[in-house]
Amino acid sequence: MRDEQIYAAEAERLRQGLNEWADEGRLPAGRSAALAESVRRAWSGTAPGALLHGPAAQPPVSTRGRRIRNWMAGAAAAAALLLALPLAWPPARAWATDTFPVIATFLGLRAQADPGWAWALEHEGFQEVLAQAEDRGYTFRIHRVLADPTQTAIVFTVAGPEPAEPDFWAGETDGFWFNGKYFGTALSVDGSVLDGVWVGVVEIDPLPEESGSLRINLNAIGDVRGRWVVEFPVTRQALTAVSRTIPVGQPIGPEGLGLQVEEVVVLPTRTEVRVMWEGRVDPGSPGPDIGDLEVRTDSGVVVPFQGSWGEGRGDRDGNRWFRWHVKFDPLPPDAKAITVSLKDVAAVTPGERLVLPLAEGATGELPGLPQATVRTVVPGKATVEYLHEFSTPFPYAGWVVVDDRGDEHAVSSQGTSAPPGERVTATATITWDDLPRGRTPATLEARWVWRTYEGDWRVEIPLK
Amino acid sequence: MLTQGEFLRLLREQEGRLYRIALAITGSDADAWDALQDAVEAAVRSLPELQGGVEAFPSWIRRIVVNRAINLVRARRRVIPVEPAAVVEPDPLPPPEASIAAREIWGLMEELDAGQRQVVALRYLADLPLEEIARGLDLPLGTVKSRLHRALGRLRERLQTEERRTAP
Repeated sequence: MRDEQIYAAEAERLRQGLNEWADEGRLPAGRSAALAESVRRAWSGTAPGALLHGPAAQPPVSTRGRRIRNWMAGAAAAAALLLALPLAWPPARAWATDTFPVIATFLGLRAQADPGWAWALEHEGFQEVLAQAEDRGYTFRIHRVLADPTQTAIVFTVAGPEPAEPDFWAGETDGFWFNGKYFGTALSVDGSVLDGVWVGVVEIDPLPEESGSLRINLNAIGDVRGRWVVEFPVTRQALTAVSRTIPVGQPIGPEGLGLQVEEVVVLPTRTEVRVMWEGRVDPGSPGPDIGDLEVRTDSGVVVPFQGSWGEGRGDRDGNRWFRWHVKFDPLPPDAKAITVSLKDVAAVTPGERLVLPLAEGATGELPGLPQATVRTVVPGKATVEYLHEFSTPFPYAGWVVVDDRGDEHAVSSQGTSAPPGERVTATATITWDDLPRGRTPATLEARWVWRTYEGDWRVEIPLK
Repeated sequence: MLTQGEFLRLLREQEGRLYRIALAITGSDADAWDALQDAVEAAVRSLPELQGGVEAFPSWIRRIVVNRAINLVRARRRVIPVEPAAVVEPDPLPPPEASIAAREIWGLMEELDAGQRQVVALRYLADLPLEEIARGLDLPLGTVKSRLHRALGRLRERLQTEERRTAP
């Protein structure tokens, strides 16, 4: 398959990792015994001659009973949704739900898992849209939009001979436009075939302005190439009006690093914590990277994490700015305060370098970091090995080769780590083109030295 | 034909792996356990069909488990056609032996939506061709390809993110 060729390394890693994971499965003793008992019962109910045709003994009643109860619960839930949602719809919406009952079902099911969607359903937070485009026998329809200051979620359907997921990436750069301007956005898609149509949601960044016209240029549905263009008015005004942005401006993370919780956006549909970093790095060097954030209310409830995205800018002098948008479920109504906590941060230390003579067996080390050894050297290629904790980033990155006159030359590098374990041997394979005539490679240097900082940094934020 | 003792011994060797295959497909501990029990009972009933004896047992019973798990997924889809966003339960088995790489991969599986996870599990754990996955899940082949594409793309993004932090 083409994708598996394109993603050959990922496919192999997935296959290997999944099979390792499966191989390590061990049933708890109780279940193992229950399984053996099922075998014995089935065996005793099947005389040798009756194995193919005779009735087998029933498995333990409790098992079958639980399965039926689950099935019934699922059926009841689905039936309740199918009955309740259209009835709960205001009359003005009836035409759409009548035509596309799958939308009501889809919204209801999503709302079961996302309290923000549940709120939006109950409070008419979804804007109703009916925009559609047809090509190649497929109809792409937009039905609902949930637009707030943290997200734009667009509910759509695809109908046609083989309903499939739209490929919003197929246009590469011309997918989304707002008020006539290109809207560069991250996006994620979720959905499935339901009652013969593909129904799903595409979530993109918040609208660049409060209101306007959103255009989607769709170029592929599944494997079918075509052109489906829809444009419709959309606004986030209503949800902006019920949102609160709480300025925080409190530092978080290692002292002096410059990370801060900038603000928290509280919405009935979502909570978003914005973490900002501004600083200066060596030219070309990356800024810090934060670990997972946790949000806990004053009553101790951990608010479920939904995902994150980031935006940044910088200049050639090494001045950098970055903002993480970390998304969580809406806060419980009784929350009076939240605590945002962070446990690890990785950052490159400005000016710090690991220097290794380009000779087999040469070693180098920096305080608090593993010793690195040059294992092999051949013309244009070297390998460097070191032991490190798997849970932390590889500490040495941004390799260059430095010649006998002190000039740096770019390299290609690839890192691997093996075998799996808490401490792993990392191998960096570094290759470079021929140096200018008369130059000899002298050292390998890691320009970026990542250090991982662990702690328990917290910022308490009153909500009132 | 296998004796009951041989069957139990072979099953004991495979049961943890079989459970996890079912878990990866169904995304639910309860469903995985149901699929495993159903499959084992079915395996006893159809034991005379086993060709190849002890050596063929692992792939034979794996196929039965996979079929049962697919049936459960399809039954669930008939009842609730679109899965809620909470798509997969944490692996309830004790983790201490799990290698870091395996845990990482299961971490990725937990991030996938139900449709993607089912396709990945059937492709890479059950070794089914895409056409068979499409038939089993009653989906267009394009949808199966698309889900696999998304899952592999997500893995690449994840590896690249890791690489950005860790590239030597």
